[in-house]
Amino acid sequence: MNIKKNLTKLFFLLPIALFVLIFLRLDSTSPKSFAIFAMDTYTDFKIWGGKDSTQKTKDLLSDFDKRFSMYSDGELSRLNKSSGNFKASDELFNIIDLSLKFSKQYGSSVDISSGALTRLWGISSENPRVPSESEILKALKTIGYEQISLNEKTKEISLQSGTEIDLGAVAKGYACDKLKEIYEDSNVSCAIASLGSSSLLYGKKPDGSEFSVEIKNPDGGSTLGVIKTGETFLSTSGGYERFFEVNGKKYCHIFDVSTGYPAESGLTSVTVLCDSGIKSDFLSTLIFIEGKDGLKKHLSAKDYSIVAVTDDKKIYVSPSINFELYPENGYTLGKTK
Amino acid sequence: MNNIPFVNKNEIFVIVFIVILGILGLFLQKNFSAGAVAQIYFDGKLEKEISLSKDCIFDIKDFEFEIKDGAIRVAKSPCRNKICVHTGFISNPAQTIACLPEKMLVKIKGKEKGIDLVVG
Repeated sequence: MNIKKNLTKLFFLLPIALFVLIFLRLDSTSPKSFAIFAMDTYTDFKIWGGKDSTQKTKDLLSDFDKRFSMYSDGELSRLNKSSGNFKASDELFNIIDLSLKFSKQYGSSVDISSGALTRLWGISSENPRVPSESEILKALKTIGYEQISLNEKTKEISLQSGTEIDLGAVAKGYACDKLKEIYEDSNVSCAIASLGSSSLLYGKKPDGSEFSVEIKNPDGGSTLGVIKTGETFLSTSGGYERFFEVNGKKYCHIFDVSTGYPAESGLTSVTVLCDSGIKSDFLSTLIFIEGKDGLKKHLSAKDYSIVAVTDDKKIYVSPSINFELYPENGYTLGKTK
Repeated sequence: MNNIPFVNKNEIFVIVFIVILGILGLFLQKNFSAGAVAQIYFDGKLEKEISLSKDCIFDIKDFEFEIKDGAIRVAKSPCRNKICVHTGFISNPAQTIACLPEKMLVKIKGKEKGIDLVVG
């Protein structure tokens, strides 16, 4: 009789156990996944939970795609063509204002007023070319944060004649900031949002584990190691994918505004983790341009952490980052003196 | 009376066996899905699905792809900036090769390594 009783119990418990098992599995492995080409890159998303979060993500991307591009007929292009005071949207005003503040606080190697230089080299355009010295000098004269004046109250922006704004170093990071606001508002439990060079890792994964992020090997193919992290923004700058070649010399898409030429600083890739998307985007470009010589102060910074890869196969990692090296690629961990 | 518990014991075995099989199935499905496969999309449409387990070189449209040692790369592309070629080999589901000018995308399916994102 005892066995029969147990069997009855089992019959009740089994469906419940199976249901729980299936439910857990479904819940932990079924985020909404989608990918779109936007903001001059391939974007990829995984979102767990949240109402309308997919549609809101797509809407934001297509809006920013047009608005912050130098080459469309969106708001930024209109500002660049404008003379006198230009009434900007809150977003455009905000992104320019923040970028100028970062240039003052962290270093002016990254300057959003460098649009004329970007256009001159045309690295992302149909016909990139190496400009003449005099053309570069002319473009350099239009660069500098004093070329942009902002009116906080009226949200008006005015540019000196010839100055063009290029948001390439900050727009994707800023979009990640806005995506985080969306996910907070729509009760998303976890999201992995990749906008190419900038990403947002939001919330907590359903299985409670940390996010695993691999760093690409600049030599191609493999990866150099893995970062374990909680919620964060992260951005990467590297010169090894987006470049053009003339007579065997590679020209990358990141410019040093102090010389007018693509950055050549001994670094092949820089990843920055911090609590702001636009800041991580700005800093990854800045640290890439400043190069090996500037690494020491960035490695010990309190408000962000970095992984920097050098052209002599060393990897420098901030002490606050949990990084595991894959040794098979011949890279070793570097130490600053 | 003796007979009934005996039959039930058999039933228990059968049930336990089925449950164990089911649970095994769930895990097997997750961890031992067939080797990695590359999916090649043009303009959002899946054009080709190919296993990474056999080395080969093939063309789609004006692109040339190469599969070697379980990884795939774009060897030649008609695009202007060649970002897709510079990306090199990929083998991990968290990695992609994207060519914006030609709206071409290579994704990897299967063999999850537990990596959420690849940057750089």
